[in-house]
Amino acid sequence: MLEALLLVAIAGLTAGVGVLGGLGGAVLLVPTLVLLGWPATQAAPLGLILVAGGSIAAGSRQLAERSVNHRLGVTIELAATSGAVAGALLSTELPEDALVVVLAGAALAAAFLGGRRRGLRNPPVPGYEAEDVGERVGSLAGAYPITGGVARYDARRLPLGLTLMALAGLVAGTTGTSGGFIKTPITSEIMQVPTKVAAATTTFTIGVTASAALIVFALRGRIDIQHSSAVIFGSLAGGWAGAAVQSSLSPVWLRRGLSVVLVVIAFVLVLST
Amino acid sequence: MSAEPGTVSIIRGRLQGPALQFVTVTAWILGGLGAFTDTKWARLAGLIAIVLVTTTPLIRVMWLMLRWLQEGDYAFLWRGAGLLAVAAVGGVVAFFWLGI
Repeated sequence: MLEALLLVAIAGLTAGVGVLGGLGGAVLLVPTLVLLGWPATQAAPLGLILVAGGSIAAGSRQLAERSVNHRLGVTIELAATSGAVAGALLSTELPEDALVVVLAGAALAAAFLGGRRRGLRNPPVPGYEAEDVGERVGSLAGAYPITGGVARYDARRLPLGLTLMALAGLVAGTTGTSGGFIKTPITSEIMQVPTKVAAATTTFTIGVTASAALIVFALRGRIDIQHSSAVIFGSLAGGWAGAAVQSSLSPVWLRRGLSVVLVVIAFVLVLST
Repeated sequence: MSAEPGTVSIIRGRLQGPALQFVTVTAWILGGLGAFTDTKWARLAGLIAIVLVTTTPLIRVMWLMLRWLQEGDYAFLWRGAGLLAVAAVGGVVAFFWLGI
């Protein structure tokens, strides 16, 4: 009972932070469990359950706000997942510790890029109303609600963004992380999509890849029902709360919060090597 | 394309949103039962919660593909199919090559 309560609490907290920043949360949960003495082989599937749970719990609110851009999501995830599969194939050839340090460096760089940016890149557009909110047919553009109106956005630097997504996927696939903490900053800072849309979109996409990976773990019989149930209970509550906080935060505060969490993730990654 | 390029998509979450809310509440209750009670039925509840959490994100992509088909947005329909295909390849790689 005590172990289940602890798992619920940690899963709730990490899923909340994960959904809030569009990071997934496994990158925080798995090292925490390992530090508490759990074998990494048991912690890994729990991390995937956390990511999928957070994604589902955040989904209804993010859909209602239309902050998720599904077209953008499948486009970036196609590049990232292809990279991840290549990374998984190369995982025995590449030095894992060095790649984890690369990921930590990328997290720090993303924190710096997001943290140094001032003001609002996508201000409300005069004349745009509630019915203009949502993704656009045939493109990676959209509009989302913001304090004072509706802001328009369009994903830019697509070739660079998708190349970086594939690289992030490759490194993530090699190291066994979901890479959400890299995907959100790439979407936000390189492709210039608003942080709130980037976080909501990444939360949707990493749920898909976590789900596919979970099926593999299930087929291998590596899913513990009681522990997974505890993580589901915590992550659904945490994911729901994270989405609620995200919708109430201004884009500037969300970006600052994301930068702080990215610095924490960089340290956690370095400590885990 | 049946919907004009650049127009607001019909994906507004009017059906998918409540469906996700239902899955969230159901999986949360079943997960709680599976985590805090230790009976045969609690294990079954936990198992159903795991199945719900595992399959919902994939079903969500299929649902979106249906919407893109309705909108005639075939480029994104194929990207959705590609994502599911790559995820499946990843699963095969993980299962057979890496022995996860």
